[in-house]
Amino acid sequence: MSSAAPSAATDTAPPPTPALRRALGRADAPLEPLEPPSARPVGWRLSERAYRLVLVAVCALVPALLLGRPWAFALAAGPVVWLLLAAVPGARPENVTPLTSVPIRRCFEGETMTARVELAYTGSAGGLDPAVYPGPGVELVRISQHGAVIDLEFTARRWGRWSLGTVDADLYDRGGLARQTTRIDLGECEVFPLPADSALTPIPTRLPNRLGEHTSRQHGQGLEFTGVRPYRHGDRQRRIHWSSTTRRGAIQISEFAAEKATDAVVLLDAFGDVAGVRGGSTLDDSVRVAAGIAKAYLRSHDRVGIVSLGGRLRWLTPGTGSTHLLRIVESVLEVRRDLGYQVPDLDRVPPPALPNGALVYAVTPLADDRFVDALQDLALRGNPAVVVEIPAGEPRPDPDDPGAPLALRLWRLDREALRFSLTERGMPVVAWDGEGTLDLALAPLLRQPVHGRTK
Amino acid sequence: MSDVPADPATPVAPGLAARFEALPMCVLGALLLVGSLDPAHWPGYLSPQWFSGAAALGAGFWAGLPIVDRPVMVSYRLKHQMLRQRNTLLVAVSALLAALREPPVWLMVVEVLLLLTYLTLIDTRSAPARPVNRQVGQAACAYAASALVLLSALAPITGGWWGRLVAAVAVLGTLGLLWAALRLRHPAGHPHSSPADPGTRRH
Repeated sequence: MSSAAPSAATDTAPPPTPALRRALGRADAPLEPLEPPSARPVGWRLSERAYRLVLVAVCALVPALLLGRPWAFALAAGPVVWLLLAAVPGARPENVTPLTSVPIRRCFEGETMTARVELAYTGSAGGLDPAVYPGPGVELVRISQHGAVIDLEFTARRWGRWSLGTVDADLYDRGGLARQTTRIDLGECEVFPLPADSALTPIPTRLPNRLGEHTSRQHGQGLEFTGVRPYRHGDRQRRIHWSSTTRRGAIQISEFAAEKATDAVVLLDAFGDVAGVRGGSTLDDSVRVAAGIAKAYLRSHDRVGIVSLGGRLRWLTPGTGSTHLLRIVESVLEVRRDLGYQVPDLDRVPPPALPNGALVYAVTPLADDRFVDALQDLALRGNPAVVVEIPAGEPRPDPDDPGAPLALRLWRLDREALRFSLTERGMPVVAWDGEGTLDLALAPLLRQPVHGRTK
Repeated sequence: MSDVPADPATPVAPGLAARFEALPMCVLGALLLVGSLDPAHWPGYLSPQWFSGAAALGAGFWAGLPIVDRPVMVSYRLKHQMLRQRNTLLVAVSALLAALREPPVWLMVVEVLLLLTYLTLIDTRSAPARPVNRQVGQAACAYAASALVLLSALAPITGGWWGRLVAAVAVLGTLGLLWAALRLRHPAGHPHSSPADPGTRRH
């Protein structure tokens, strides 16, 4: 987990309570996602308390009878009375029906989700002992029990579409001598990636003819002053630049730059998930970068789309609006599911998903040749593109291999050559390793518009 | 409404603090196992009984630690089974060893008290929460039953004509206690089954 927020949430989380550790099933082990047991026992069975009392009574009674020790009956009397008092006929909960309530099933990383499990039954019960098996992307942080109601609180730790978890609720009879297990499936949840912190929005040289917030090279009705020109018939009087008019002796008109919107498309490399330089997942960082870029452009009312290249080709037509960010992050939740082999073919992407002149952000660890081929295809199409590299960790050389340092050096040179060739094709390469804000990586792109192959 | 008792908000006590909280249980387990070996009859010099007592002290201290995990079968290995059932093994072995011997009366009383106290405490520590008043009432009945049976066992019934009278009183007392236990055991739905339990209900 390389995001700062989830890590901080983990660090500041309170220590688990005994009830939480009991529910998670490992009192001494660190909290980690658990696999639910494959099959649960069906029907009523004796509890540990019943086994204990019966065994003590038998262990005391048998020698007392065989050896003729009357005092040993006193050892058995207590457990026998306990058993007699606890074995109440008809004191079992019957027709147990679990009712599950999960108000919110969608959240961002680091946020919490609550679930409530209520057991409805006929008869009376003696105790409830829940076991919780959280899904792989969530962590159980709190559990409370009020009668037959169990309140659970999960914290989303990793983006993706996960199972929220499973609850095995042991319901005891009134005497605590028998128990029955009811398995409750909490359903699925969607954890959206936390967008990387970003506010900068580099723009391409040519902007589409739509009103927006980016200053373009064309003259228009924007706010940024670009120069003066002689008066022409039809110009508005309020745009007269009086100081230049006085200096030149002829009416001069102020000129402003047009403000236009841009189209940005994030090309996500989902071919593989390799370890990053800090040990995290490059796919996690890639998705956070994609979400951060989309969030920044949507904030300035641009249209943003996404194309993910992985086991399956997925795309989302550029759109705008606050809800479009949720559509974008929802579309990338599936990329982890089918990491198969498929040669990318950008021709299969419909033209509206990759508009001409749209600024393309290729977010990739540059670890798969198939994605590099897609980048070449992209360069041929003429789209201005920026490669945001999520640096992959270096291969660990074998210390016993004398040629390993040389191989490692060759590997580094090969990476440098790849970056150089991409830059030469008009695709600047910036790197973001998950530390700091994304703005630091994108800032060099603000010096001039991204031109691609067409200057 | 629910008749399932609420889970008490237990304070956080990880690591050493939790073990310190369980120290009385460990000591109780050690005393229970050592007491079952009849230390009153050990010789005054160093003998194998003293070594077995030392081993029992360690084993009782280890097995006396209450199990707070849920009763879930993790493995079929003997080691895991012993770890999971160590509390039950402790009381069962203690009862078996004690029943094989004929200790002095004071040690019988101590052994019965230790056994019942350990069983009471282990119910409150390792089992899911149950109504406190019900636990206290049942524990009191168990203590009373053991005391009555122990008194009956120790009563001199062969000394003379009054021996038969003592035996009859013991038998009648035991029957009375049994009747009281069955009388106290209200069936589900009984109006006096529990103050907080009005009987059959549906959530």
